[in-house]
Amino acid sequence: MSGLSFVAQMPFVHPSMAAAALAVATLPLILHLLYRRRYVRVPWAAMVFLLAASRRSLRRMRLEKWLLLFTRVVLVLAAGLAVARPFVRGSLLAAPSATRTHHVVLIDNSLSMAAKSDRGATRFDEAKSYVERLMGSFPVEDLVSLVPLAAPCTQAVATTSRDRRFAREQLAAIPLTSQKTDFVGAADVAMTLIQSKEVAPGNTVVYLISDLPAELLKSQQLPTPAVLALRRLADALEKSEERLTIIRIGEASNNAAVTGFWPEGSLLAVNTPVSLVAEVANFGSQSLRGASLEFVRAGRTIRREPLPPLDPGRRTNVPVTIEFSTSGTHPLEARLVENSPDALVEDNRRFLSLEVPETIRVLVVDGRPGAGLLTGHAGFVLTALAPSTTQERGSTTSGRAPDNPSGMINPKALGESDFDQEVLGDYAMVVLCNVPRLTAAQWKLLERFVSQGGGLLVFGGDLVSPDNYNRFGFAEGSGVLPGRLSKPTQLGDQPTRSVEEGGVAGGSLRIDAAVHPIVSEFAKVPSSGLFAARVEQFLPIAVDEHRVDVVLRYWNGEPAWVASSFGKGRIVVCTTSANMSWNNLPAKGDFVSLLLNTVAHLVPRPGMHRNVEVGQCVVEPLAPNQSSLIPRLVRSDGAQLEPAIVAIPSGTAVSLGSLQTSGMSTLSIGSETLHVAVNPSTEESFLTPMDEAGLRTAIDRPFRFVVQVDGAAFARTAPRATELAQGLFIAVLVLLLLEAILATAFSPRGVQT
Amino acid sequence: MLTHPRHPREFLDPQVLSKIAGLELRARLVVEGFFSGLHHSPHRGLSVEFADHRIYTQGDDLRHIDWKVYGKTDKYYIKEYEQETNLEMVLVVDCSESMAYRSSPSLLSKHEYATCVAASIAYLALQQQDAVGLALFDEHLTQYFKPSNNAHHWKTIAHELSGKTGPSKTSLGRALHELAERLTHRTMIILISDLLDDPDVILKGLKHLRFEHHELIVWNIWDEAELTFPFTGPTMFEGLESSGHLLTEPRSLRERYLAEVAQFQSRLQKGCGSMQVEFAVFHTAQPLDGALSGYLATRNARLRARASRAMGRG
Repeated sequence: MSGLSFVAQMPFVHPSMAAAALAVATLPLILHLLYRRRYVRVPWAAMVFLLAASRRSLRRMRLEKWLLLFTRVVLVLAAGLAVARPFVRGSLLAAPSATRTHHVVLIDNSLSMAAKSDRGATRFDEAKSYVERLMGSFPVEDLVSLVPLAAPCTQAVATTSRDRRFAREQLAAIPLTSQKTDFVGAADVAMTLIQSKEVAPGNTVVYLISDLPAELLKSQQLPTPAVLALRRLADALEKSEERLTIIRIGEASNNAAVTGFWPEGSLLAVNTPVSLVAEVANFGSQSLRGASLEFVRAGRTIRREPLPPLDPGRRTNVPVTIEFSTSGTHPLEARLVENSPDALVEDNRRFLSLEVPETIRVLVVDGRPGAGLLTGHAGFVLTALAPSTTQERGSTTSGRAPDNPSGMINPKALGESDFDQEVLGDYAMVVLCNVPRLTAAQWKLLERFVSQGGGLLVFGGDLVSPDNYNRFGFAEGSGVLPGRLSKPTQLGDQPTRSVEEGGVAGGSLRIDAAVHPIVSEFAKVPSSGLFAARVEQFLPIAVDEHRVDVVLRYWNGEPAWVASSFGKGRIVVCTTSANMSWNNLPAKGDFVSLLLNTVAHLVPRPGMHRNVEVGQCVVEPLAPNQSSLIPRLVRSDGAQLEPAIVAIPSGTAVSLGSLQTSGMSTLSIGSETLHVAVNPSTEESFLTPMDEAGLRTAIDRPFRFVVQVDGAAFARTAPRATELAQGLFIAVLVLLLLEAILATAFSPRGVQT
Repeated sequence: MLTHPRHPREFLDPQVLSKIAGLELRARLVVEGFFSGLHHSPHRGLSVEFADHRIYTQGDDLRHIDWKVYGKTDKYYIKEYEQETNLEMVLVVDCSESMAYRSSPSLLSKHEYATCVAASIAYLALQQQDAVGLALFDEHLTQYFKPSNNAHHWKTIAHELSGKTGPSKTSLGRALHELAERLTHRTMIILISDLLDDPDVILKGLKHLRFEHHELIVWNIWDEAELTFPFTGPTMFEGLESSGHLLTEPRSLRERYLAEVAQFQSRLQKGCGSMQVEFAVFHTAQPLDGALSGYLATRNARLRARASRAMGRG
């Protein structure tokens, strides 16, 4: 290979600078030519002596000129190439600084690293100790970048330094967090550092120090995001085994955790029993026996439920029923108490911020109000929602129903003409019963109500104008209604149907295989009265079944109950009437259950945005009268903060930012106290690490695998490339000296006059 | 604008002379400046031999009346002398194109310097009753005036010297041969030229003249820049007398060029020395008294030699 082609194939850290250097190297030649073009004309008499002198000096002058020019071109070229930083593969016989290596150390500081070993040290402590020793093995001229793996792993958390003392300080400052491992972010950060050109390409080595949770890395059919990220990282390192080292910290350990804590059903109200469920999982290799679950409310243990024996890998739900006498947010905690060792105790508690409203207010709009009980189109609906109220009152069709403290649902019925006088924001849900038509403004109000989290239940009927509903309610798919309605249609006689077909002989309704929460309990009872109901007439609705759930169908396949979502809220459309005019469903006992299930599906669960995972943000909307108050936040670790007020589309809100510590934080806004539950990710409870074979199969790229052992020796990774910049800079200095000598030697003596 | 010098000797400075128009005035100022620094001689001339008497006529100088004859005859007679020519010389001046070179507007060109020197010598010589002739040449002898000691002859010489240089090359050898054929008896020849010709040819011409027993003085005139070569930066030298051109970096050639010049001068000097020809180098920034002193020294030596030869005969 000739010298020129060797240079042409030489890689550069900054290739563009190399091209620029080539261009700049022509500068002395250009200057020389320009200099020669700018001459002065002198008439001369003694030409014979000048020509004789020129003839005698021509060869020497040419030699001097070209030698000086060559030196200057090479000087500029060498300086440019030095800036472009060429390198060659291999180490050659270069100075240590020319083979400088960039060590990118990805250290896991997620919650799972808090698991303790038999020696009592956490995995994180062992990882730090390992990194400390690892850094000690690096040559002093090498760069070290430390990247914590806890989510969110971004470039901002990475620190790069050549100063080992600083690096050690940075390592000591990396905290153990309650967050989950962000392999994807870490891979992105590492790839950015690989491309940072601090050292010659090929001289970057990445160390991943983690407990390598099998749950994140074990691929079933498709590789997990973490595996894909590690593959990308290995590819960025040119699939070199020497340049990606994965160090596994920790062994399989016993761990049981409370992995869930939630209210069952949406219908919460004061003085009403509320069912809560806590989920406990055994992530260890031994059965969990003798453990119990404590339920704590406002710091007091209110219930202690013994747990059944739980085998490894199994989960169990522990229900508890609690009644709240006051409305507002209630801080709850499910705490696992166990006798056997548990490597990770941080996931043994789970917090729940539960908002309990006074009642559930429902606005019922009746298109044809009746005069007595069960008359009108909304009579059966009102009776189903609040039976005691309607019985006591004897009328359901007009006026505000009296408060019923014992009732969970508080419906208010009114006629179509009174709809405009109501503030929809006061209600959790709106029911339209055979309402003929609504104005465009009223549909817009409903749209806004639903998009902000409200529920909408629409019943058909003979008064309903499909044109009005389609034009403003459906609005070609952009409105709140999930489909286009057609004119009332007779369902006709139904053929005899088998149970296997999802129906009852003579009944008009059936359910699809997909079990929706509204009808899930009926799916278990094929002989339910729901399937015996007869429907004579309905409003056909054309829906996109990819976006909409068809909860119930008629025997001919037409949708009967359709559920969809709009913004933060939900909508259910029942294509038949709410009274007995088109069907006999209200006469069936299951009508009440069906309606309550529908209400539970539609009514928003207030305050659930205050239950987040570690690292997530909480934005608490402010009421208009709260916007002038100064909110205060007391975090679970005792720190007090004054959160920021931010603007949101509906007004103002308190932004709590990203909450980094698990536990129950308290937000005070004036006299109102809200609780914010922050729980760790359940991913971090899986303490079983990935074995080497599984990891190699999953990543499918070469890498070095090290199981952390105390005092393990660290073999230095051989540098893959040698930078030539230092040698070039020396060459530049030598050339500068040579140029000065040549210029002095070749320059004519001073003119003597 | 010419400012009046404070001392007549300042007119010997070429930079001062370059500001004076008119060769005659230049030459007179040079000679006056030259003599202002010398002591006046009590002798007005050298030997004057009586020839005859003639009757006084109006307009004759009263100093030449022979008062002894008046005492004897009571008539005015004027003494007439047969004046002997002290020296006969020919000024040979180069008028080729190369003589037109001047490196600075504040200096005289080589030709101006040469003509100024020649005119001054002629003026001085005629003042001393010497016969002065003039020869101008470029490629060949272009003008020739026989030596004469007539006072009006100086006007002719000055007029001829005031001419410009021509576009012709220097061909000194041929000019000297032509001059040798013109001269009929021994003459002192003052050659004023830049001598930019083949040294062998020049020396051959001089040898020819020496063979004819002529006395020779060679004044080699240079421009100051031709002796110092002070140029810097890329320069295109365009040769006069169609001698070609050269684009070069002069600083790198300077040393070699000066060596060539020195070698040329050395060769001529040696050649002249071997033929007993006086050789002197002048440059255009040099005061003119050097040339005049040289001339006088040579003239005096010549006269002393002639006197000693005469005494030997007596």
